[in-house]
Amino acid sequence: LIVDFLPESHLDDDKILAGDVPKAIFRSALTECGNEAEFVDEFIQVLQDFSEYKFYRQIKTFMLDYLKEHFSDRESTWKLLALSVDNNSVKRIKSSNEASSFDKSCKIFAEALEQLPTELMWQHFLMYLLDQVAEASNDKEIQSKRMDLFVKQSNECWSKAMFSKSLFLKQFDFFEKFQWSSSDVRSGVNLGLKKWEHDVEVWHRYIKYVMNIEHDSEAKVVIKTLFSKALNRLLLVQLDSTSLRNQFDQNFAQFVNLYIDWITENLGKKECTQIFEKLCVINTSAKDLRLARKLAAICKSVLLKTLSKFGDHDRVRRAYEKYHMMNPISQEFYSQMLDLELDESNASLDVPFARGVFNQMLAHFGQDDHQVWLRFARFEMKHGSHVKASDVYHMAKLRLSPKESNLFVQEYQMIHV
Amino acid sequence: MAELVQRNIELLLPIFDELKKDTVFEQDELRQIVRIVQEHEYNLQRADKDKELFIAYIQYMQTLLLLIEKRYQKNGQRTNPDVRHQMIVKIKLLFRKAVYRHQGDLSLWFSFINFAKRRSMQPLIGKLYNRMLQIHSDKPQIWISAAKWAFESNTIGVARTYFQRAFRSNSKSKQLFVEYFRFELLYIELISKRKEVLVKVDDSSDASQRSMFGKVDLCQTCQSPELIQNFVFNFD
Repeated sequence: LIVDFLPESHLDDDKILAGDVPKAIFRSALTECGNEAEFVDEFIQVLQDFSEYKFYRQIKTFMLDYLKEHFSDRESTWKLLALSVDNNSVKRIKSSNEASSFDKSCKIFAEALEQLPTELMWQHFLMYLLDQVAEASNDKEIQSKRMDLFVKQSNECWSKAMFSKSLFLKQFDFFEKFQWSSSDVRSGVNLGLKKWEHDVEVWHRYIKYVMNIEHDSEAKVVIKTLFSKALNRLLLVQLDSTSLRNQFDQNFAQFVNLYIDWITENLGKKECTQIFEKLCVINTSAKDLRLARKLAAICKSVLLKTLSKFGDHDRVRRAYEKYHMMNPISQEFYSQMLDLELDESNASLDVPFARGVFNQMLAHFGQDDHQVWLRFARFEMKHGSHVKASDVYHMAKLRLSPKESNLFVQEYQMIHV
Repeated sequence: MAELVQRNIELLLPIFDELKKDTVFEQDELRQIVRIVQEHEYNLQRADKDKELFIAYIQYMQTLLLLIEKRYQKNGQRTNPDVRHQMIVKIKLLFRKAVYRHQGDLSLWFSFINFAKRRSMQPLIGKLYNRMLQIHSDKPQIWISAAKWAFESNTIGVARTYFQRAFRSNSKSKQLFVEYFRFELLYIELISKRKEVLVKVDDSSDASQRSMFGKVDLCQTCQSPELIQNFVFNFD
């Protein structure tokens, strides 16, 4: 392939270098294969790999014009249009070009919001603003201006009732990154908490944010109040759909774990015990009693564990005596008590007390779980006598269901081996 | 059937003679090789022979070729070109028979093409792609693969022809359009880089040099391996 030197001006005008062939392919593709926005996106994805070349801008402008002409009713089109303005001035923070490209992008978003005022469009715009705040981290002045703009636009979005839950959750990542205190964004956050007051995810994310941001002396009081407020709101939730309920339960369990971890890590013995003792009682004002029972059951076990952590084993036993007959009765509570009582580090093992716990547990759960009986038999062999273990064996055979009974017999034989 | 097997083995005799002469294999090893080859030949004479029998024989012959090359290397000798040539001819023959019988099996075709690529048999690759495309012209990924090979072999015109021919039978293929678009972008990237090189030459050289390089072999400027490697198709 031998060519003569051509004048540079001629090369600049070259239609091939200007990307006329890819443009023609793009046009033909849309004519032949149908005018689909996703198909256009595929071409744009391919083009992104050539962003460092001159022809990139020409082809991209052509494609964006096409998108604007044919798919102006799509949020992602506008997002792409706005971002492509900004991409032209990447890595030029502080320069006037950067500022103007930011303004241009904002104008495009404003135009988009006029034509397409949807939740998703607002989400794209506000996320863009947050990205820009993050990018301007070198210049505090620009950053604060952009933050002000975000707050302003965010308020407008709220006033138009276009703030989506996903945006609300995502924004906390940025707030944490910039260490924005809750006072800066209080109005928006309060509106969000009010709107989604029965949403576990929202409370979970918000409290986590507060935990990461607030570090002063008041923080503990604030977080404690927030947890209690959240629990009160969440217990009022009543869902009809099973799938929604399952999802809610999953999120609620995560929320409760966060609460328990925070209490045990941040509060003293007295406060800790008080909160858990309060939570051990079923909240009768809850609309979904199933949820309240679950919470109480978890907290009963956690109470024993917490008291044991503080080294007060007598208090653990007293708490057990107080709560073991109180609803909800859960197997975890008895198992927890047995774990703590039979723990090797527990020097004051009370054999009759432990036997009592076994008997009480078996009174409630003796029909369905052969493992409890096996544990009891092992306990009697170790701390009682073989005669008592044999009594356990006979009792188990009487009480257990036929299937569980067979399993018990098989495993009991293994104890002797 | 036995006479055909015998004839095929006798066709391989020159290879075994050379291997014996060059002391690449011991007598016992050669005997064992002949026995295995005979076994494979008998398998291929069966009426119900399937793809796996061909593949097994081809794999054995390919491994044997590699072993022969390693043995020559170990003995400090260059591989006997006659042996190599005849082994390759035999493998090609086996591949041909296999793809003739199982023309719909794309993996077999691509195995043959990969073998040709490994052995740098450029004309054969082109022929194989053309033959394959006669049968599977409705499969855009094969056209794309052929175009990719042509681009990698620095024959841009051929690659473009593949794409344009592909549209005759796959005018509605989105994948084909996207890859053609990518190909043209890569081509522009290539000529942009050439232009940069030319401008540099123009800037740095004086008038006498310019007269020397009045005409530049642009093929030299587009040999960059990175540039070629950038040509990534979705289909491989």
